[in-house]
Amino acid sequence: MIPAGRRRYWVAGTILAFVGVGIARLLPQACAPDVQRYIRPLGVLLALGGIFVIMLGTKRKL
Amino acid sequence: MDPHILLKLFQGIETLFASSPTIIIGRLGLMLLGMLLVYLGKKEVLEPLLMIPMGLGMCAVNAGVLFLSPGVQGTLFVDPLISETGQLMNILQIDFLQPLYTLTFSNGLIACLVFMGIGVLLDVSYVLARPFESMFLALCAELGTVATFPIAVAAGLSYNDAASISMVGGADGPMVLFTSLTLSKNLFVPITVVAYLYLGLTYGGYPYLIKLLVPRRLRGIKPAPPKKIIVVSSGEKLAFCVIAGTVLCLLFPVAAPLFLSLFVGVAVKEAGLTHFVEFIGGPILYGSTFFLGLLLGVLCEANTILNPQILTLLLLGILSLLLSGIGGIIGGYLLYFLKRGKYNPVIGIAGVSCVPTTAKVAQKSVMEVAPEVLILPEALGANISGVITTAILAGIYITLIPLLR
Repeated sequence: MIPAGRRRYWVAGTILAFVGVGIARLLPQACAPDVQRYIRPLGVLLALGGIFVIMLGTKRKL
Repeated sequence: MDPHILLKLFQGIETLFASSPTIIIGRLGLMLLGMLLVYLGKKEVLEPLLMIPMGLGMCAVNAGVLFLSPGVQGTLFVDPLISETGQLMNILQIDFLQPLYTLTFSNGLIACLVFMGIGVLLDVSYVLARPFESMFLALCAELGTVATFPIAVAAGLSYNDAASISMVGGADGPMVLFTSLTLSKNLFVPITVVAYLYLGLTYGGYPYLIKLLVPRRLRGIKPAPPKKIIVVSSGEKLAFCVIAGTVLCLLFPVAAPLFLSLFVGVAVKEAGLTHFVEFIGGPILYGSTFFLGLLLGVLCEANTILNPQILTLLLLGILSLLLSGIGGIIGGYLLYFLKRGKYNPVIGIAGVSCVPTTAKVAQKSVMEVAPEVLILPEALGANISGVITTAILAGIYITLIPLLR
């Protein structure tokens, strides 16, 4: 379904996106409120960055 | 003969005389506005699919006020303010549009159905082929959505109401409806009506904004041809929907119904489910749009819509949409400078996510000065990114605003 030349972007982007979700939604529960304030946006940015990496992959010519 | 007998023959007129001067002016004004919307819809100055049922609904609801019991005025259309279960069960059997309102409008279903239809019409390959430019322009075109929020708070609105009216800058009707239903239940009728009226204006107003901000010479610039032809398979587009949809729902669960609706529309299209595509893109989309227009119209009853904050909302709505348009064009200019003059700044306006209106407006403005120049693929990429960024901003507002207390 996904061409071989783009696969690594897909894998990296998907992992990055889900790691971002984990940082945004799960990690703050284990942190102090002060730290949560910085971790949540960082996770969201990372997750959106993951989706962007996938987009970059599809931009590649095969 | 007692002239009051004549008035009693026509309860719509009797209720008019029995109202306060503000309501009399409001009802007459809204009837005239309804007629104007039908006229402008017919002339295609405003979106006819929405404006014709909405305009007629406005006329009918403000004309058809009657005495439900001695001294109590009301209509047989819909009562949006009822919340008690017993009263609701009673009114469901009286007001003919109440079932539709209760079961599809107040829970955001109608917004999601329209969004599914939009999803079916979208082709994400325009975004995937040029992600940098598309997302950059879409982010710039959210200027109004972001900048109006502090202005609205400074104007005296609560955080919830300020966020809802700021979403008008995203120029996406279902998104404004969904956000205002979630965040400001008491003001969602005027906010949504203001939003849909202004969205109709983008078609008529944005060409003037383009002419004002982009000189004729720059409007005719032909974008540099792509160095390579990028083919995105339907499998990749489907996989993108699944991953992006899941990640966004995990991040912003409050806006998950919107994300699901958008991506399920794209997914059925890319999976080649033609029967679903025809069903969602035809009866669902047009049916929802029709009833959305009709319900918005009948919600514009003078007693419901004449809120002291309406003028503030009208000003903030137009400001938000104007700032978004300006932000999009600024983004277009930035890309013009980055690409050393090989980018048409008009494409920036398409970052405002009124699909596909703003992309069409951009192409039309360019064709007026250079009929051979085609910017539609770039404009559609920015336009579709605009839908995604607006949905993300709706998710951010709905998630974060309740935490700001």
